[in-house]
Amino acid sequence: MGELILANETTGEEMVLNMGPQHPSTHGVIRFVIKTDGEIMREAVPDVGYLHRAIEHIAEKCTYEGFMPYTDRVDYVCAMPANHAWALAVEKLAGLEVPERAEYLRVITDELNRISSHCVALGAMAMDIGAITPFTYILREREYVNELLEMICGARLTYNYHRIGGVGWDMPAGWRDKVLAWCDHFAPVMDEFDRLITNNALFVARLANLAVIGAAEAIDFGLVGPNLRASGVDFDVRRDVPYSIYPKLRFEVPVGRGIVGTVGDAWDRYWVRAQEWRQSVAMVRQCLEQIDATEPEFWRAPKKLKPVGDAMARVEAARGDMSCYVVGDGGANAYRARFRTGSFNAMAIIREKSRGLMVADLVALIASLDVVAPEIDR
Amino acid sequence: MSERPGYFGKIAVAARTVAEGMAVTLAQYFRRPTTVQYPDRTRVPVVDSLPERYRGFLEVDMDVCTACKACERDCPIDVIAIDVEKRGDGRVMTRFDIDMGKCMYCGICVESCPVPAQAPGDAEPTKCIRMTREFEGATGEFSSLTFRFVEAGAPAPAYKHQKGTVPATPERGQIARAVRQRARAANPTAVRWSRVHQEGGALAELLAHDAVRARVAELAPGVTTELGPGALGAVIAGEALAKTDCGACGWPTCRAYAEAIAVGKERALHKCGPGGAKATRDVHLIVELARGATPDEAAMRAMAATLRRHR
Amino acid sequence: MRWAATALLALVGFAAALLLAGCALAGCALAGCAAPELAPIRDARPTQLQAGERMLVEASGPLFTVGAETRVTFDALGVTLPARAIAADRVVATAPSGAHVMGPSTVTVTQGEQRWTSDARAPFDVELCAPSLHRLANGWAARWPGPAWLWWMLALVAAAAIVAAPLPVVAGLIVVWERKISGYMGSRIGPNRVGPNGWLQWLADGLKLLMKEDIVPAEADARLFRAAPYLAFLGMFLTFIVLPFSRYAIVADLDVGLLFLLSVTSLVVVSILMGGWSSNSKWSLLGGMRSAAQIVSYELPASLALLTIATLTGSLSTERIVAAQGAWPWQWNLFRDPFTFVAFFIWFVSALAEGNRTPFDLPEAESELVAGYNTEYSGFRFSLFPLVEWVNIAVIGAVGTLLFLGGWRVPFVDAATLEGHAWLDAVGFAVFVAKDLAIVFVVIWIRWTLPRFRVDQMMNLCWTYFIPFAFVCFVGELVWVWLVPSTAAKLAGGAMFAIGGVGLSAWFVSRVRDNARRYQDLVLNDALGRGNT
Repeated sequence: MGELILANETTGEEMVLNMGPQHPSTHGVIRFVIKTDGEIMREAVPDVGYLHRAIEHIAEKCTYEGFMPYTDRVDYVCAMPANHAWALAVEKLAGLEVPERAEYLRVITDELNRISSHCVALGAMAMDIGAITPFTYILREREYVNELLEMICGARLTYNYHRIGGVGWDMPAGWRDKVLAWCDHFAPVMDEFDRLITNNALFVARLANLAVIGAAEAIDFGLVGPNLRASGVDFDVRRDVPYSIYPKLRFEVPVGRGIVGTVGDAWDRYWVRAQEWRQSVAMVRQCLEQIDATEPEFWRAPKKLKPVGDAMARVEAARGDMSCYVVGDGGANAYRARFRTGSFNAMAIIREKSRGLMVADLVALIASLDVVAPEIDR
Repeated sequence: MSERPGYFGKIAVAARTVAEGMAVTLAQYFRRPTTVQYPDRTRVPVVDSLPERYRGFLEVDMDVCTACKACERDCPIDVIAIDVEKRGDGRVMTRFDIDMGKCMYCGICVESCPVPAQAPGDAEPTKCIRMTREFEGATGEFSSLTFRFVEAGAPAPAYKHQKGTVPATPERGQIARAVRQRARAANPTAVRWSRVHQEGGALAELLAHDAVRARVAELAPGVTTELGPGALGAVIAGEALAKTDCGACGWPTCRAYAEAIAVGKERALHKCGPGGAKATRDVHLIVELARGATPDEAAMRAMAATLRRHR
Repeated sequence: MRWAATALLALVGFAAALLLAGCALAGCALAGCAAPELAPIRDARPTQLQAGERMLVEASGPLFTVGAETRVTFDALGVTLPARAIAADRVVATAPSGAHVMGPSTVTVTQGEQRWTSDARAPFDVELCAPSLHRLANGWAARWPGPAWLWWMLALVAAAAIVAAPLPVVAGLIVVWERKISGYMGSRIGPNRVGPNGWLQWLADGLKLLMKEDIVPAEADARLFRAAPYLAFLGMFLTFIVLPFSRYAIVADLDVGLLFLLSVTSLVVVSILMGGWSSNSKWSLLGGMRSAAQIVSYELPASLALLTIATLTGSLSTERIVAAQGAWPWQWNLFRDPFTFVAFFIWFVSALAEGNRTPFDLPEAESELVAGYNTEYSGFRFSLFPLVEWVNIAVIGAVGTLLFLGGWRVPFVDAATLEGHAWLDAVGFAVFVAKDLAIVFVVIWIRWTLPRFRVDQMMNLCWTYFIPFAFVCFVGELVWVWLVPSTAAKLAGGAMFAIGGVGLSAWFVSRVRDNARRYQDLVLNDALGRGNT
């Protein structure tokens, strides 16, 4: 870092700009040091760590059950899968079984949270490109999802819903009908969003052929989730490393096709998320049908949780493969917890792809990678 | 890869998609907005519209607390502080503080509590320590965010819970509100509403949440929307006004004032001098109930109007 | 390959334009040469007269008898002016009071039995009209006791104050309107607390800005930094001189009105560059440079589109352009012929670009540059830039109205009726403002629908799409005006109105209704109420 700032490499029209850590478009507190030649960038170097809260270290000071609220804060935009990852890892570690109803509830809330996280991602992307109205529409939808999740667990953002051994609450009366009503409401909204912004000529012109990431490059840089799938790599943890009751659900995995540009450009990353919405809605409907056949038990709380060993769990969060590795040494606290998140890896590719882009494109690139600062720094 | 449009094709695509986008926004322009205007232009107080499981402020019903300290132990961030002493052959709690400023509202303390309880108005059973739907705690001083459930000098004895029983507990939120008001009493920057409560005195007692609700419950059976003006006037004169016929309101008798209000000739509902704030509150309650407001709405409006007139 | 095709197209268009212009000139020269003889009356000036003013008529030779009873007639208008011959080839006529006519006419001088007429092929543009502000001022200047220059200074200051005073209010109201429109388009309510339904929000914001500290960055070029906003204000303010808000509510009817408009709006470029440079901040510099490139590029298509209308009307004067249109939509310039129709869209988008509005708001792109050239400004100076921008929207609306949408013309009222009833002028004013606000609504609507362009895309759009089309429109209009007979032109106008006006509107309305129909509202928790409960 230091050599970038101090060394006087600027010649001619080069400027060194500092974007962040407070900036409207960096999706959190992230800092970029940009060397530009007029409007074209030489390089944009990300500087992360502003949102580091030592969550993994806190896991060592906190019981396994007590750590669950902290996993919400690993990625507060998409907190349920983080809950799920921790629960899955500790259950693997301690050899616990989870009632089937709890699995269904976990998947329903995971998918609802995925939808609301994509709402933020796509809305923020549109807003960074300049269209503010789609953001307001999509946040309205996210409000509905927040209300639904508030009804089931009492909180709108930091849910603390999953538990070691199940989930915290069952569905309240009338919740399933409200979720189905919302799914019916959301279907035309997705189409409206496509009409408004996804296929808009200006939006496409901004994003098509921007920062094309090839499949091999994506794998080399460790991209996961929609970023990876947009580059043409057909991999989804829910289907390929299945967990919970995903094997019982029918869903497709959208993979980037380069419809308006090249495979792996920014528009593909946008498009993959827009298709994942629809799949998630279908999954929620299927779960709500299938959950009637399960037993009413929703939480098999372990009596004494002092496991020994290590375990790793992978879940498909909204931003990709979130892995949780936990080591237990027989105490009530974990010996080590490690979260691997998609946004951290996405930061590395920004420096590569930023060469030759314009500053406006850098904003579009960061938005298309759907980077959120809490996930990067934990 | 699809075929790319040519020069004129691009113009056509641009024009079409721009027009489509503009049609979407114009269609939205004519719909009803989804804004909820908190805090003063909602149909009911927001607190009453939240779902039952909402994780707001914590409250502890000291009457059924067994001093087991499970909540203190299980809290991930140690915001609960309980001091237990032995007194005689029982235990008492001399301190039960929860720092709501630091609390992360996770609800783990509620899950670890062993004492179930049933609060009126709740569909699901709750616990001795539970989260409420209260969330309005903004204050200028951190110290007012520490909720002290045991007042200094009045230690609470530990409850002996029989396994399997589900003791009754007050309505959720009541204790939290009381403790919050106590916490704010020492806060010089409290907002206007709670200053009234903090100053204490007649107006605060009159406008206390519970007092107003009790009064509404008393009045509601006798006041319906079908009441004619004469009957309504009788209710107003009988229940709300001071019955002194002093003429301070500008009308010769209390009955005349009441009937003028009932037919709508008299719009000022605060004129009863001897009745004071109580009369104002009750007249507003009756008028709102006669207009068809729900008990909550009537309570809210009456409180607001009385505060406006009598502070 | 596509680039080569477009470049070729542009070149061909250029060449065609030059060729046609050359032919047109040659044709005119030939037509001129075909009539070598001169008419008896050579010149009459001025032909725009107020009652009591004098006109000089010149003959091509010594024709008149000095001292004989002379009359000067405008044949086509049927108005006679008393006159006297002051030399053998000069006659001075006085405009009578009560005559309110205008139109093309030949001039005839009559002395006894003899008559001499001017060239029938080149009629004079005659206007005998009621007093206007300018002419009133002329009259008062004559009665002013002090020196003339003092009178004119005071008159100018007063006129400037009258024009400038409502501008902050106009800007403020448009700001609040924009926030409310953007609110309802975004499924929310805009400002709704300050004033009735939020309509005094601008007052609160303006007062707040005035009370803020005026910061000049330490390293900034203080003089340029301070002057830049005022220059922008000047550029926007001067345009009001030629905008005809109604028949009489125009500050000065310049003969070169359109040219004046184009030139003074360029002052804004200078001010943005000044602001960006003098702030001594990289972000401001980037914003200033981007904006300068943008505005200068889009001057070209905007000017060409304006010239299209000027060609159609035959004049650069804004008053004339409005007078040449009718009040009903099919009589507007917009639907006259395909070239003006396309010119409208070219002009509109170019005006958006010049006004720094989305989709061309890169200089102020909040998400990238914080505030571009605005970044370092605070307090009153900061409020001037947005004020200029929002009044500029109103100016865009005004220019669009006068050029393409029939200006202040009121249905069922022609010029003659207007002369007699002054209150109809207020109706004209209201019509103009209504059309202006309609365009302002569309500008705001576009801002809140579309994303923004990148710099290179914006330049590409200008140079490869707008300029060729603008040239084609201009040359096409030239050819149209020259060659197409009036009946065919009327038919074409009708067809344009049917397809372009009614057809497009019907299609758009059907899209809006389709969108409205598909949406299913949802209320999960109806306890709270929504919207303006």
